[in-house]
Amino acid sequence: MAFFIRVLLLAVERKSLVLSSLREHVVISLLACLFIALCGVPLGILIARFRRVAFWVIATTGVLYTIPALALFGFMIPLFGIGLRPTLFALFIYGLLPLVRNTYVGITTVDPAIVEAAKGMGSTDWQLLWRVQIPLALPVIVAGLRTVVVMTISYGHPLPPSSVRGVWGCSSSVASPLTIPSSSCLGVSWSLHLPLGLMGCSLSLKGGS
Amino acid sequence: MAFQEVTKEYARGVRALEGVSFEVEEGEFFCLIGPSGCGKTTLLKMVNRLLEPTSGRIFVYGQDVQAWDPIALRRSIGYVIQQIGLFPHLTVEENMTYVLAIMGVPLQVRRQRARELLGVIGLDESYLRRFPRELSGGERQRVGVARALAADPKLIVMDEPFGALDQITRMKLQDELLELHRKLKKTILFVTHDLEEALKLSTRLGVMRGGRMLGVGRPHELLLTPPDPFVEEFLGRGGIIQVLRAIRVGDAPLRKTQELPGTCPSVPVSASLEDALRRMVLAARRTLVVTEDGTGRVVGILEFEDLCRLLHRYLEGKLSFTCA
Ligand SMILES: Nc1ncnc2c1ncn2[C@@H]1O[C@H](COP(=O)(O)OP(=O)(O)O)[C@@H](O)[C@H]1O
Ligand SMILES: [Mg+2]
Repeated sequence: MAFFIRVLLLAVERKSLVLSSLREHVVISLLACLFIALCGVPLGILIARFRRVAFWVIATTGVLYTIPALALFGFMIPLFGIGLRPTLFALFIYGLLPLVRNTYVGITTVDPAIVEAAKGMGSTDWQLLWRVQIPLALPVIVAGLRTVVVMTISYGHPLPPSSVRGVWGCSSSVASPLTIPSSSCLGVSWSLHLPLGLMGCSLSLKGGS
Repeated sequence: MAFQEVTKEYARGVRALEGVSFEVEEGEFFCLIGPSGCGKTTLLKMVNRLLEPTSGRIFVYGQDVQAWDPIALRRSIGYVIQQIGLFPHLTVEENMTYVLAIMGVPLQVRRQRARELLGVIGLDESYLRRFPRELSGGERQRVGVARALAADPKLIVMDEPFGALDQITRMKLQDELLELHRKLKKTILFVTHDLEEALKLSTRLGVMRGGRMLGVGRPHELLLTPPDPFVEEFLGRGGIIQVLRAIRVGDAPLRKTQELPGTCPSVPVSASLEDALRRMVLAARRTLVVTEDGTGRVVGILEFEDLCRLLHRYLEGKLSFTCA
């Protein structure tokens, strides 16, 4: 209890820093989700069309997904430095798999009888995709998107967004004043993530019904 | 529509069709019948180029299908598949007019057409906004048929459309389809493994087995003079009631009318011999006047003795086969 009070006091004391970090976090998460959606859905559709490469694409995104976050940043800091770009890139890499896979699975599991009916009636490939396959795969694609949103919010944590001051650890707002005991630093960081994460979860539950 | 020496080989050397040739004339109701796995679906899918033949040629509307743009070809052929395949995310209205939508027909026209089609299949307008999951099996199948009729194609191909329905619904839909065929004068290529269905519906039928076309002809021709032992065996299962059911009055040996026996009960040429026999029994007469459908013009006389002779011929043929 005393711990939570200390966390709360710390957050209130550094209110402006906490708020600006929160804003950064939201913006970065949204940006990352946008990039993931823009690449993941078309990629999933593409490999549903050319199934021979599907295995390799999903395997590759799967391998990317398994890279430990710490190792990934180890690679990226020499490449991109610190700041917005590496954070976005990392989130992008982690978020790609669920969306590509869900899009692929959604489209390839549409009842073949329905696809055949659509083809047999004279749909072009494009019409088949837009009028039949995508609408029918949509629930699965959206489920993938929700996973990505929740994941992106929670993964936004390892690298301080656009700040140069902190490199490892929690969020810049907490990491910078080294004088503060580390447990309360993590507490503040967590208290930032919690509401966002809960929001993401409630989004994913709502759509599930 | 015609097939010329068509062969289809799937991957790994599976031969689904071997040298199949037959023709379907305009306005015919042609049934393809044979046991499961004999290549009926394969054959049907080649008509609208969902599959390409390994060798041989296929003609639709008198033109080689290879010369057609596949999309245009498919839009000009009504297609009802085995599992119906209605689009679950579209309403009945949108399902029925799907072909028109992909052809770019304006919404107003599509709406109009959807209402016409509902009339054709005998459903009321409350169905327009429903989704396929809100329909019974029979209603779904009706919508499937309406969907194939939407662009007013001259040729309709159907793959075991009534296979999944209960007996009563199936009979009802068969009657409706026959009525539709009479009214709309479409050419229908209909696949089934149900002999009774084929004999009831078809003006001509083709019997298939193991990827080969064993015999093509009108039901009574195939029944009375089967071209192949398998055809005989396959068609002979139903016994004489089947024969009576399969043969139209118009195909039976009729006698010329000398004088008009005004008191005789009449029967239309399109009725089955079973119908004719029932009328004879009900009226307790050995003679029926045969009239043309619609006009009611007298075309001949059907005698009970001629019926018996026909059945006799059939039974003799069968006997000779079982002895051989
Ligand atoms: N895509 C396919 N690949 C390989 N063999 C197939 C394929 N489709 C059908 N066949 C084979 O071709 C034969 C004919 O199948 P089909 O045309 O579906 O028969 P039917 O419709 O008369 O039941 C069957 O022996 C089946 O196993
Ligand atoms: Mg079949």
